[in-house]
Amino acid sequence: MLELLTRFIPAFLSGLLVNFEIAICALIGGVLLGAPLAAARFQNRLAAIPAAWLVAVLRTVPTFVVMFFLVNVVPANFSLGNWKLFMTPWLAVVVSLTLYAAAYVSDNAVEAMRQLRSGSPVAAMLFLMGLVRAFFVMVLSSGFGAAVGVVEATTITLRTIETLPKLSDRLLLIGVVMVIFTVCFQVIYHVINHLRGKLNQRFVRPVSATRRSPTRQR
Amino acid sequence: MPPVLQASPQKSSCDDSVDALSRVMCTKTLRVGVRTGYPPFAFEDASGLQGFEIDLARQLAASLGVTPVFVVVTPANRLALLGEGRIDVVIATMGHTLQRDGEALFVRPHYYQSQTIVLGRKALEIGGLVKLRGSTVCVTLGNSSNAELSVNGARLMLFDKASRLVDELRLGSCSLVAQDNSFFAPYLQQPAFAAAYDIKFGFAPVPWGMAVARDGGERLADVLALSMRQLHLSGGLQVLGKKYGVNSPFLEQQRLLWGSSRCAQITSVTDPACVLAPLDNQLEPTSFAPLVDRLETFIHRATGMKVTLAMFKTWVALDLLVEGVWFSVLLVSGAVLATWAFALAFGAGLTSGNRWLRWSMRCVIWPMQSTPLMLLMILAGVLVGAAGATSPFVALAAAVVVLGLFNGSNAGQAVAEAMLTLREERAPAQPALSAAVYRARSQMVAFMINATRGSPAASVMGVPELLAALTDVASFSSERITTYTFLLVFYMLLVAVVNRLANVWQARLALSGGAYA
Repeated sequence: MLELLTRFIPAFLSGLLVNFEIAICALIGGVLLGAPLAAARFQNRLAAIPAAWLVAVLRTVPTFVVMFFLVNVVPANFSLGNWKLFMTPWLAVVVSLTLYAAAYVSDNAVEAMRQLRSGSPVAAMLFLMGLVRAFFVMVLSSGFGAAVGVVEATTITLRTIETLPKLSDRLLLIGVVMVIFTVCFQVIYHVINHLRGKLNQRFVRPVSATRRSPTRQR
Repeated sequence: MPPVLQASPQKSSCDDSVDALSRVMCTKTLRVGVRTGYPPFAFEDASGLQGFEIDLARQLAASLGVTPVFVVVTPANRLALLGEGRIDVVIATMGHTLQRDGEALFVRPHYYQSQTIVLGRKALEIGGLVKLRGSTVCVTLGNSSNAELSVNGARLMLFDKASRLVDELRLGSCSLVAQDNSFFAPYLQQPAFAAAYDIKFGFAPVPWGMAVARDGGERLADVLALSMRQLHLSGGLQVLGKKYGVNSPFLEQQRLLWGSSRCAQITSVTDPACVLAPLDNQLEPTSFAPLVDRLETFIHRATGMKVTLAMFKTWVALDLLVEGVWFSVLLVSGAVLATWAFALAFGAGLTSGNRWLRWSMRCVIWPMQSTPLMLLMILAGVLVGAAGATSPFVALAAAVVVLGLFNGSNAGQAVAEAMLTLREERAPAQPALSAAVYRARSQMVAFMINATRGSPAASVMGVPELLAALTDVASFSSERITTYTFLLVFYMLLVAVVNRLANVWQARLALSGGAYA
């Protein structure tokens, strides 16, 4: 088992890089698509209704099914303007997560703009924390790629499990992977929560101050 | 070397003959439809066309005393060219099926028998077709043996071309692939490939035959049948097999068979004990299949869109569809309820006065929140497999628990956080759990919807929900656009329904908010 782990861990980490790569691309796509939708919902009255509808549709999109849809329905080679694109399983995962990210970014950006308008720039900063959290959710969700042939961390784990004849070895390997994920992600979540707490503290003080000021005037 | 022609009508006085054999003898040429790019059976190199089938055609032409003229055909046009009289015989990697029997006259005995093989890395141990339940097998679209794989519970991953299977196998995206053994024959001759991969098992054997036109081809078929029998008997086909690496026990079996007293008779080419039966790979159509055809035509005329409703055309596909819909509805209902139940349990546990209970809850929640859902599904699949459970309902129950734990852990944490804020606000009073649920209701709804959206991932552990069912339908019907569009619309509607119901639940909570808040 120890010998297997020495071979497995480097391969697993290289697979994890693919997960991060997918999440980065999907988050960029989500921001590019979600930010204009949020702006349309918040500012432009004419565009607000179709934008809200589009976001409502995006919220219903099942990422896992969209991935299969893109892999099986979109032609392998297609053109987008002057660009020639290839619908690889990797791109399918990125696009399906982009749709999820766009709805998330749009919803959170609208909330951040409301906070900004009500004079709470620090509260609006929580939007960035939300983006970081969404990024890590997408790192985990990119594991769906294993079902369409993307060679990422889950695929590598699955392929290694298949070669292990003993149940105990299989469970041990899955356990090791779960510990790696848990330690990494819980540390990240605690850091995010800590930063969020600090931002909240800064956000609460100005609000309390504004609440107190009218009383003083009276 | 015989000339290679493109498929084009060849006019001469001999073409007027209705009988194919008379035409062949008159023109002194045998026009043979052959494939290219299918080593070792037919391929092209610097010296021209080569391969097992090419040499076989040469030997048959020689036995007739005529010159072979090769016409390159494809699987799509080979029978059409034969029907149009543009070729005399097809020897083009063609399996003999009942369906094709109606379109051409197959020459007996057959010259080869292929089967679908499941191939994978040597380290994998697969006991047979029945042991494939829950395993992912990469296949090509439209392969008739895909139906057999899906019936046995294999999860299919679809690819357009057989060559992609080899690429995906090497890249590690596929650990098992299924394809005709003739396709893998040249790969298995490569030492590096043979060292890494082996054949796990074979199924769905199909005899390969040469065919002549139904109209006027009878006499030519009879003559070719005699030559074929002689080639088997003399071991001539085995020599060809060895030359091109077509090492099939079929050729040896046929040599022994045609040497036996039973098959030595002149009439034995029609004796069922001596010749192989064609493969029956036709799926039984539904009673309303003609109506579906008419609907497709109507949609095409009305909208210009080509829609193929393959899932309604055969009983196998319809059964898969109905089962898939039911399992999806059960899965989503179970996942939503499990998310709600686990959220309450985790919420109560995390805010309990008992420290041990709080820590044990955290020990469950942290890995659930931090592990990809796919990996949790795989873990559940391993445990279900180890328990020896093969029922799809057991897999369904396990998937419901996984979806509930995954989403319920996050929702439960939200409930716990709500409870802590309530305690701060109302100290020293102890707020009820229902008040915390009321405060965290929007997060609970978000995770219930998340559970619905993530539910198709259960297909990886063998739950026959709609994604798995329609992938199977697409694998043997060759239709993907309508099938996957139907699937996407179905799941989007399902998410919308759950969203609506969750909002109703939220609204009811808000109405009775006084009791909770």
